[in-house]
This record gives sequence, structure tokens and C-alpha cells, in this order.
Amino acid sequence: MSQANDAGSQVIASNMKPVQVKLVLLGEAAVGKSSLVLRFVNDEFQENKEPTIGAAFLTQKCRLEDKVIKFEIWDTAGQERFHSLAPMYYRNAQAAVVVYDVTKASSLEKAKSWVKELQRQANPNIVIALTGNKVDLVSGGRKSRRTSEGEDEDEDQDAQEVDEDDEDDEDYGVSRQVPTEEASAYAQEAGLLFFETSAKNGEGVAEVFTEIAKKIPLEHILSSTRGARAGGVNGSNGRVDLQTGANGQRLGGQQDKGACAC
Amino acid sequence: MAHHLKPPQHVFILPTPCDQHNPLFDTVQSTENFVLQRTKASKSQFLNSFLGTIQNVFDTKQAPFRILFRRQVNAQSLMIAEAETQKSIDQAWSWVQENFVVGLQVLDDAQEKEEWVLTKIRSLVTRADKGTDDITSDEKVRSASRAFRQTFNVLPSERLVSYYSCSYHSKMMNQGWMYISENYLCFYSFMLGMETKIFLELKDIGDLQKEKSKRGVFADAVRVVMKDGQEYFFSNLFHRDETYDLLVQLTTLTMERLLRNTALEHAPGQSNGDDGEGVKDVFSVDVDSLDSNESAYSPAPTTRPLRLGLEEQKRDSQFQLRFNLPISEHLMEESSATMVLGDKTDMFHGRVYMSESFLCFVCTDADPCVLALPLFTIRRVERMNSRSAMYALNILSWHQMRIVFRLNGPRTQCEKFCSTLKTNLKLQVRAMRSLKPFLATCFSEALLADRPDVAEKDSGLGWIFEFPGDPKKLKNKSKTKLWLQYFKDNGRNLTMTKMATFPKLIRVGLPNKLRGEIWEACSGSLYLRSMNPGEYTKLLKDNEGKMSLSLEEIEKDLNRFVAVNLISYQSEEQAFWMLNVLCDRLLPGYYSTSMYGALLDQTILEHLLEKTMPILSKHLKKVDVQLSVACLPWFLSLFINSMPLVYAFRVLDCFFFEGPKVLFQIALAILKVNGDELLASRDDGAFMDVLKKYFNTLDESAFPNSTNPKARALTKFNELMLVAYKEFESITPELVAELRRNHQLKVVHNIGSFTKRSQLRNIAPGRFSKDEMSVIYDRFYSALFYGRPQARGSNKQGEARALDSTTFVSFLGSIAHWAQVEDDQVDGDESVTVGNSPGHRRRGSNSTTATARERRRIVGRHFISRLFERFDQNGTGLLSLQEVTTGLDDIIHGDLMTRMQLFFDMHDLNKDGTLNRDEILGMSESLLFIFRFDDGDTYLGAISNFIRNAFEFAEKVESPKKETSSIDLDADKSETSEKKDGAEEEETKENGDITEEDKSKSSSPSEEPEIQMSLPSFRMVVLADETLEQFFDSGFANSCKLLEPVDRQRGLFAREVFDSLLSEGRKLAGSIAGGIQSRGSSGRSQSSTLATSSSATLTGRTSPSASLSDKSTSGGDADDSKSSLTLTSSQGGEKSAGQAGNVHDEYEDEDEDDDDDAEGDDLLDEVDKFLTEFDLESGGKKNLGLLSATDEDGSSSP
Ligand SMILES: Nc1nc2c(ncn2[C@@H]2O[C@H](COP(=O)(O)OP(=O)(O)OP(=O)(O)O)[C@@H](O)[C@H]2O)c(=O)[nH]1
Ligand SMILES: [Mg+2]
Repeated sequence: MSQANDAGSQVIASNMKPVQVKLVLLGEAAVGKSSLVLRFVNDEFQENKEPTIGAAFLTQKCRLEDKVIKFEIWDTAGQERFHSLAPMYYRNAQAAVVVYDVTKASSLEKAKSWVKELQRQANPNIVIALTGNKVDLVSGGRKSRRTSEGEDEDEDQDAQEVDEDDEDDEDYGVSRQVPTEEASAYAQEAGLLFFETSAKNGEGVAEVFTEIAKKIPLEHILSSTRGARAGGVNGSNGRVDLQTGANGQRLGGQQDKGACAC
Repeated sequence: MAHHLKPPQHVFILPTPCDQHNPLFDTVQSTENFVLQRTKASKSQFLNSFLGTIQNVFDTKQAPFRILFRRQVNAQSLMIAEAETQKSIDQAWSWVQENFVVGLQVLDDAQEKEEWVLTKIRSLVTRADKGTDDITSDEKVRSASRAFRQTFNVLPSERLVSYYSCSYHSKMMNQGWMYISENYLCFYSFMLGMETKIFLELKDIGDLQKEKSKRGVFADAVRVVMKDGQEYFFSNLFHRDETYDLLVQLTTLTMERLLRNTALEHAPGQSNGDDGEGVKDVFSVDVDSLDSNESAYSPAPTTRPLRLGLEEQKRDSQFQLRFNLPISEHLMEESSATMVLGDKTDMFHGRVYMSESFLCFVCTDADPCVLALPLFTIRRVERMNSRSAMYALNILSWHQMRIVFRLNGPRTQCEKFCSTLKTNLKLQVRAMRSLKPFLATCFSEALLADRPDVAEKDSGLGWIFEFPGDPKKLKNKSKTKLWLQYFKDNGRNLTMTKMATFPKLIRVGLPNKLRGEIWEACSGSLYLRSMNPGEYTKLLKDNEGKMSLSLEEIEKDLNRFVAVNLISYQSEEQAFWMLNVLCDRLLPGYYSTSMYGALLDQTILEHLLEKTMPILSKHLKKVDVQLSVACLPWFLSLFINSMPLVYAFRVLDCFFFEGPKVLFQIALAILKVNGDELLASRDDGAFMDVLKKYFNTLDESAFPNSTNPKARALTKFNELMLVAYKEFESITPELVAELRRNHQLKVVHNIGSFTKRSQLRNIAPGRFSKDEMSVIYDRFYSALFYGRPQARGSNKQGEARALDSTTFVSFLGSIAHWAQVEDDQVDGDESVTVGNSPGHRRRGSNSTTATARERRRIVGRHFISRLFERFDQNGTGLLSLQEVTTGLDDIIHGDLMTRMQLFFDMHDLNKDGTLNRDEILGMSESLLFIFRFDDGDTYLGAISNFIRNAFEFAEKVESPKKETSSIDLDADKSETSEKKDGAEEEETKENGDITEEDKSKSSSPSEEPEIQMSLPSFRMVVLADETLEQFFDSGFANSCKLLEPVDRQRGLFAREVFDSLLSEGRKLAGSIAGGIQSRGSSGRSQSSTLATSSSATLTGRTSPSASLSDKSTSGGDADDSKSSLTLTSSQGGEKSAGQAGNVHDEYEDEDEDDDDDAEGDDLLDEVDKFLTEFDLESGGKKNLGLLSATDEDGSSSP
């Protein structure tokens, strides 16, 4: 994964000082968080990606207009048991991608509960993107088949192809369970960016990260926290106070909020 | 007849010899065979002894009342019952009279008589008190248990584990007793007229600390910190360490249950739930095993104190841990011994242990040498004559290895050891048969047979494809050679002894083909696999086709991660047993739903970092980086996720041999080696980068610039292992175990509060405040926790997070006092009312009382179960937290109208939108049930009004018969019908006579005109009565107490207790006297049938009246009558002990409640009697009276 830094088309090797953006991916297990990151960072896809343990950490640089952004990506594990660890990853994050699976209605519910949690507990200025993944499964044939994850949901169509032993959903196509309009309406209401993606064919993946980058007040990050990090000066606005020693970063985040309100 | 009367509980004891002519006791009653006695003190200091309570009794170890059996065989008597209260002893006495007198007349032989009586008593005791300490053979424990049970309002099934004399420090020092039971830590003292009761739930304990006593001189104190921060300091503990260890053990068990049974765990966490290992509830295991060796009729049924069971359990688990044995092994024998291996002359001094199927040895000298030899691998044992030791066992193992044990112990001990060995060996025959096929799956056998290239048919994927890494670079060949030699010298697979060279061979890394087997041998999973041949295949076959939930879980579970990698080196079956050991023993709680174990170890890691690398630890805190961000995945995936595989497997080699402490050592070493760079990183991103880079260069030289070629050859991984073992040598398994013990409570509570927060976030709170929601949450899970402590099979998701009908009762009881329905277990107490209750003077009240109570209980249960159905919106038969919240919200925050609607709907059983006669009566019974603790007169009137008005305003369906007669309030209850529903029907049948009467009456239903009351008329009826209106408007809602304790709070001081007792007593006496007077007429007008039936029941029971007259002769003044009332109420205390619910809130005013209870009972009985009596009397004409009244009133009302 060390090759991450020089892969991808918009990625550049720059000697410009990059802006660091901490981004966290959240969402139900197996919706494709790791796959999205893998697509973004390495432009790859694995059919049988193993579940994430705890969280994976990856970085990716990309250029936005005249700036270089270094995404520090925390790809968290979606299994419920890891839920209690999530705050550890999303605190101090400037951006969050909350992922659901368009073929699984319950994953949107989980996404909503993540959004709720982020809006209450995370950095108040956090940019949240809601992302419906696996659209490749629904854009093609409309052959309906019960998915292994969606057993409870699509009761109307379980009669077909029962004798099929093959568990490989990808080849068959499954029905969409989350209409674009529904999710997009919710995103609008909750003030989120909204995307539909496919980690498998790459559709929409880059946009997610670019749009996030656009929405984040990069200037501010550059001048406050990260500046402090690079230049060894504590605190923002050139002010050094006693508290920053203990939680300089968090303080930076709060400053962000103030800046954004302007 | 006799069988109607159930024996009272907790009164009969195992027959104990004692002297009948004890100067401290007066004989109150005596028959040919039995004597009823009371202490002299109890008469004169009657009130005192009540106030000083049971504790005094406990101190003197004598209950004030007892029943003796007069032996005719010799002069000594046998005590068969003892009790704190006259009521209890009277009940017991009556029972004895009813059940023994006739039988004893039939038998002539004294010996026979005695046996008959004793058998009966014993079986009674064992059956009734199964699982409690009341039947322990230890008399002291028995009386402590009794004192505990009666002082604290606990369920009868709660078992006392131990009790200690100690002091509690509040403003002053209180000397008293500490009681430790399965679920609670309690303290009681009664000093200088001041009573101190402390009642703590083990599940709420957040920390336990050993401390020096206040003066700092003696290390004899324990500090208990609750999860809410409240602290308790106990000192003067003579067995402080024992107390502490016991508390730690019990809280650990409680935590495990808490994790399993409540919100914290909800999915099938254990991969091996199917074979039932490792997930058993320890208490139930204990109790089960104790019960199994005694039938209810066995001649000497004694239960060992629970404490012994716990100690044994602890010893066994230490034994299993030490030798990596399956949990089915129990330590049976041990002895100091000397071992000689093979033809060598080395002698190892140590201890030899024996369990069902193992002979184990561990060297206590400096030389490490450990052997756990399965008995089924023993070919032959000889007892040798040797000069140095009297007993020497010469063992020939399956692999033809000679092992000699010289037992160095007293002769008897050695004899016992040998005979146990003999017995155990005999039981191994079957296992021996499967040994040969098993060994065929071990690569070590192939290696020794010199066909090392034969691929076993069931082996790891590595055999078929390729093992990770370059075998040459790994020095596979030479390593294999070393192992071959080791096997020759020290045995192999099942018979292998772990000598000093063993760890060295492990640490250099295992050769590929041997890896799987040596992992098994190190972790003990080899034993599991060899002892369960075919189990795995069977499991697969049984589950063929069905995708079981747990398999699916494993599929996408964390385990998959490790499993996938094990399978390179091991067959599926090997990996299966390996995972088993991994989840149960090596990393308990890691792969459960809450990952409790993993989180605990993270806390410990942080603690260790702080201790060993304070600068780094401080730096991380400063830059706000959480260690777990990097380290949790290391532990969860055993580094497989982080390090290149070749190295991860090297770590696994050490881990399976040395256990989890290795993970800590390596983790700390990683941090240490990268210390400088980590100190330079200022956020978690940079932190992660450093570590990632390090893991990717583990194969590089640690000292690339060194001039020494040897140093240059040292890789970073080698360096890591050196640092891990050398610099973090101090991290021993014992230290890890101790740290886990010290931190576990905190971690569980943290998980708990996190779970609580996140669950509450997703609950629609209705109109409840945050604090109220918090209380609802706590009581909800508390009901689950205590509701089914032994819920083992609750693997189904959701089940553990929802209330069923039983747990709902206790939940509701913890919110509303009226919902505290007596537990089934106190039925015995309940149904036997041999009157010394004041009411018994009225003839015939006894059977009515019993019936009424029984019926009230049934009414209550029905009411609550209908409420349950209302709450259960999706009809699953289980209530989620959301459903309970919504349901309560409706009740508490709904308005007058919604609550009336609720009651209406709940009682409209046939769902026809109206209430008919039965349903109206059902409603009034429900109201009576709810009001039963309240001041009786107002509600009595209100309900009478309700019935009258309901019948009045209801629409008549059939042509009503009109007969005119003026009626008063009493008479209007003549209009009743007896059948409420099925359960009640059953219940009534038990009372033979009454049922007959009922039947004859109900057989002519046509005479009763049916009526229908609509919801509007119901509202009108309610609103017409101030009391009822108030009840529906606010009273019912207010009966649900969330933020205040369920029961009225009262002071702890004896003075207050005393005062209120007196006033309650007066009130009670007054109200009952009033009741008797005002109901006198109706009492007299009881039907003759009823009178006869009750007096029939009473025949032969001389004691009640005797005890009563006894009381009245002892004074006859006001005080004395009060004392008898007091006695009654204290008896009520025993009853209410059966109630589940928030015990914590109740304990303080236990006594008062009982008063109320008793009072409520009596008043309720009154009303109940009216409701029932008129059934009996209304032989056809009575009901007409009401109708005419209806007409009259109807015409007079505007
Ligand atoms: N067809 C299709 N499959 C996808 C897509 N994204 C992911 N998958 C598949 O879905 C499965 C789960 O993907 P992951 O990326 O591991 O999901 P995750 O959200 O990281 O899961 P956790 O780490 O357990 O939280 C894998 O088998 C992927 O191959 C997609 O866009 N289209
Ligand atoms: Mg993932």
C-alpha cells in the first residue's frame, strides 16, 4: 500500500505542502466501504473482500485546483460489534462518507443512524457524504433474486430461482431496494452530500472525494491545525495557550467551526 | 383433605438432634409425637426481638420457635422445624398434625415411625428448598442464610455464598455482618438502636480494592466502588483476602452473565455454542451437579454450601489452565512426586495431578518440565517397589516411553491416588480404541516412521498448495531435524513432555509441516480433538444443507480471519478445535458481540504502556492519539492483519505456547522499537504511517550498517522478538490474569454505558425525559438480568434484549408497586392460612382468605398479561425496549380519556366493543388488585359504586327480571358471576365445596340477564365517582414511579420504624375492627355451605386457636394485640420476599410494606369475600335484588 501515493490519474507527486484531510468511512457491514477506498486509492476491485477488523488506515493524495490534498482515510469495520469503537475514528475527522448498499434497505436505516450519531457527536463542522454503493448490481438486468444479505426484505420475489445454489449475487443482478429519490431526499433534508457509486466499475467514486474536498474549508485547515503540525507552532491564529498542549487538534476543529460560520 | 394444605417453606429443616428439655424453651403445645416450643425470651421481649430482628436470633443461632419430634427409640428429640415467627410455626404445626397424626397411629414400631417421619421431612426440605442454603449440612450457614433471607428482600432462590463479621464505615463504625450471595453484597448491623442495612447489587460494582483499615495498621479492609461512584468501606475483615477473592470471583461471574444476558451481547458470539462448552452458566452447572447425586428421597440429602462449589470451580479452572486441559477435566488427586523420564537419570521434583482422563506433572524446581498425559495413552502401569519412596508408578506410554512417578506423600494419600488412577484407567477403554486412527492424523508419527513426505489426506492447504514463505530461508529442514530428536527424547503429540528446550524450539519458528500439530499440542486443542473423534464430521453432517445462523456468523465473522490462516497449516477439523480453544481459553470475550475481552486487553495494554514507557504514553495523550486505533487490530487478528504472514505465524507459534501475554510483549516491543519516530508523530495518521512502514520492513536488517556480519544478519523481526522477550520479561501470564481481573469491571461498565447511550439514541422516547428513559432502560435490563439468570439457550437474536411475559412482570413490579405480584414460589406460604391473622376469628374466613389471595394473584397476573399484550404491538410475544417505552408513555402521559379507553379495551375480552357482566366484574377485580396496597375504605366504596353504576347504566340485552327490594351498599354486590376466565375456573376447582356450589349456580345462567356497557357509559360511570376519576386522571399514571423509589421511602432508624409500626398497627387494628363491625351482618349471613366447608377444613387444627389464646392470655392489653399484629406483618415480609423487582429500593422499608400488605390483604379479602360470597348465596334470587336497585336508582337519577 506504500504505492498508494503515486497511483491514480488526478494524483500528483507534488512538493507543495499538502492539506491533510481526515476522512472516515462508516456504514453497515459489507456495503462496500473498503472496496470504495480500494477503488479510490489503488483503482482496484476485489470480488471477495474480507471484512475489516477495527479499521484500516490508508492515505491518498489528490489535486484540487491549485492545492494538494492528502486524504487520511479511516475505513472502519461495519460489524455491529465495532460500533463502540467508531468515536475513536470519527473524532477530529473533517469528513465522513456514510455508505449504504442500494440493494439492501436496512443498510440505509443504519446509514441514517450513523448520520444522526455524527451530527450529535462528531466535529460539528464535519462534511458528510451519503453514498449508495453497488449501483452496478441494479443498473443492468432487472432479474430479481434474493440476496443473502437481504433475506428479510424482499419477500415478494423469493419464489424465483430457489433451486439456485450459487451464492454469487454479482452475476445475476438484484433488485434495487433503495430508490435514488428516497435517499437523495433524505440527504437533502439532513444536509448531506449525496452520491450513488459502484466500487466494482468505479462509477461515481472519484466524485465523492472531490466533492468533499471542495466543500471542506481547506484554507482554514491549512492555516490552523496542519500549519501547526508542519511548522511546529501550537494552536491556531498564532496564539499559544495552555490548553492546546493537551488537545491542540480538537481545539483546531473548534476553530474551524468558527471560521465556517463567517 | 390434607393434600390441600401445602407445607410452609423455609420452616422445616433437616432433622437435627437436640434436647427437648432446654431451659430456654417453653413448651407451647405437645402431642404424643411432637412438641412445639418457643424461647422464653421471645415472650417477654417480644417487640424487642422483632425490632432487633432476626440478627439477634442469628447471633444466638436459635430461632424463637421450633418443633421437635419425640423419638421413642432414645431420649433425644429431633428438631424438624424452626421459625422466626409464630405464624410460620403455627402453619408448620398444623401441617405436621394433618400429615403425621393419622399415619403415626397406624404404625406401631417406633423405628418405623421415626423413619417414616424423617423421610417425609427430608424429602419436603429438599424439594421445597432445592438450591438454597437452607438445607446445607452446615448449621451455621443455614442460620446465616435464614437471617440473610429475612433481612433482605431477596428471591427465595437466592443463595448465600458466605458471610463475614466486619465493620462498615459511614459517619461512625458499625460492627455487623457482611453477606455475600450470588447476586448481592449486603451488610447489616443493629447497634445502639440504629439499624444499618446496605444492599448492593454485584452487577453494579465498578471496582474492588484491598485496603488498609482506617487507622492504617491492619490490611483488613475492602473498598467497594459502585459504577455510579458511590463507595463503601468495610474493615475488620478477619479473612480479608478470602473475602476479596470471593467478591472478585463472584463479580467476574456476574459480569459474564451481564455480558451474555443483557444488552451487551445479543448475537451468537460463541462459535461453539453447539457443544455447550464454555458458555454454561456457572451457577447452574454447579447446582445441577450438586443435585444430580441426590434424589429427593435419598436418606441424607444435604447440599454443600455454594462457597465450596465455587472454590472447587476455581481450583478446577486453574488446573485446566495450567495444563491446557478441556473444561470437562476436574482435579481429583494430587501429590508431591518425583518424575523420571525414559532411561535418563534426570529426576524432576514437582507435583503430580490427576483428573478424569489426565495424569499431569509439573516440575517445581527451576527446570521447566510439564507433562499432561492422557490416560488413554497409557499402555501399562506397574507399582514398583523402590527404596526411596513407598509408592512408585512405572508407566509405559503408547509411544513406549517409560515414565516413573515416585509419590512422596503419606501412605493413605498414595493409596487413594493409586486407586483413583485404577478407576479412571478403566473408564478409558473406549478412548483407547480411537487412539490409533487419531495418531494417523499426526504428522509427528509420519516423521518418526520416516515417511515425512506423505501428505496426510486431511491436512492444511499448505500441503496441497504451498506454505507461505521460502522454506529454505526459513531453515525448514534443520528445524524439522531438531524436532525429530526432541520427539525421540521426550515423546510426541499426546505423550510429549515439555522440557527446557521446548520454548527455544518454538521461538525460532516451527517447521511448516509440524506447525499445525505443535500448535495443537501447545494450546491443548490436541486433547479436544483426540477426545472427540468424529465430532466435527458429525457437526458438519448435522448441519449439512442448512446454513445455520452461527455458521453464517463465522463466515463473515472475525474468526474467519484467523481461521482462514490456520487452514494453511491445519486440517479443517484441527482448525475447528483450535478456534474452540482460541475463543474459550486463550482470548475469552474477543470474538463475542461486544468484543469485551479485546477491549479489556486494550485497557491493559494502555496501562502497561504507561508503566513501561511513560514518556511515549504521555506523548500519545498529549497529541490525543488513542493507542487502540493501531493496536486493537493487532490483537484481534493476532497480527495476521498487520505483519507479513511469515512473521505473523512466528508470533502465532509463541502465542499458542505461551498464551496472550505474548501479544502484550510483542505489542509493547513494537512501540518501543519505534519509540523515537512515534514520539515525533503528532496525530493518528502519522502514528499509523510509522507502524505501517515498520511492518513492511520487518525482513530488513535491523543493523544494516554494523560491521559485525552476525548483527547485520539480524532482521527487524528478530530484533522485535528479542526486545519482546528480554525487555518485557516481567509480563507474565499471572500479571496478565491479574490485570484482567482488576480492569474487567470498569470495561464492562464502559461497554454498558456506551450500549445504553447508543440504544437510547435510537429509541423514540415519547414524552419521557432523558432521566426517565435512563431509568426505564436500567429497569428493563435489570428485569432481564435477574429474570433469567440461567438463560443459556438465548442465542437467538433479540431474545436477550426483550422481555417475555415473566420478565415483564418483574419489570412492571420495579416501576409500579401494585404490579408486584407474589411469586409462584411462595404459593406454599400463600395458600395456607391457618389463622392467627386477626380476621380468623370470623368463622369460615380461612378458606375464603386463601382463595381470595390466590384469586387476587390470578387477577393480577391476568391484568398484567393483558397489559403485556397491549404493549406487544407487533405480537411477537416479546417486548422490546421501544414497545415498553411506548406502552408506558401511553399509560403515564396519556390523558384521562386514553387511560379509560385502555382499561376498557383491556377488559373487553371478547372484543365486541362493550363490556358484559363478566367483563365489568373483571374490571372491578382489576381495580381491586391495583388498589390492594392503598388505604382501603375509599377504594372499596368506589369500586362498589362502580359495580352498581355499571350495572345500572349498562344496556340490558335479555329481558331482565325485575324484583323490588331495597338494597344497601353491601347487598348490591350480590349481583356477580363467578367465572372470569379459564385460569380462574381451574383455581376454583381446587376448593371442592365451593366449586360444587359454583357449578350448581352457573348451571342456570339463563336467569342472569346479560348486559352491555359501551365505552361512553363506562366513562360516565368512572367520571361519576370522584375516586375513580382521580385514579384515571392521575392516580394510575402516578403509580408508575420512575425517578423516585417504587416504595415510599422511610428512614432507617429503629425509632422511626418503631413509631410507624405502632401507628400502622393501630390503624390496622382499627380498620379491621371497623371492617368486622361494618361487615358483620354479611359475615353472619354467609351461606351455610361455605360455613360448613371452612369449618371442615379447620377440624383438627387446634393450634391456631391455641396460639391465639396463648397470646391473649399473655396480656390482653392494647400492646399485646399490637404485638400480634406485628407478628402477622413480619410474616408478610416473608411472602413479599418472593417479589422480584427493584429490591434495592425496597429494602429500607420492608417492614412497613408488610404492614400495608397485610392490611391491604385483609381489606381486599373483605371485598373479595363480598364478590365471592354473593356468588354462593345467590342461590337464584339474590341477583334480582340488584336489578331492582338498578331500576330504582335509575329512575331517581336525572
Ligand atoms: N457488485 C458490487 N459488489 C461490491 C461493490 N462494493 C463492494 N462489493 C462487494 O461487497 C462485499 C463487501 O465489500 P467490503 O468492501 O468488504 O465491505 P465493507 O463495507 O468494507 O465491509 P466491512 O469491512 O465488514 O464493514 C465484497 O465482496 C465486495 O466485493 C460494488 O460496488 N458492487
Ligand atoms: Mg471493510
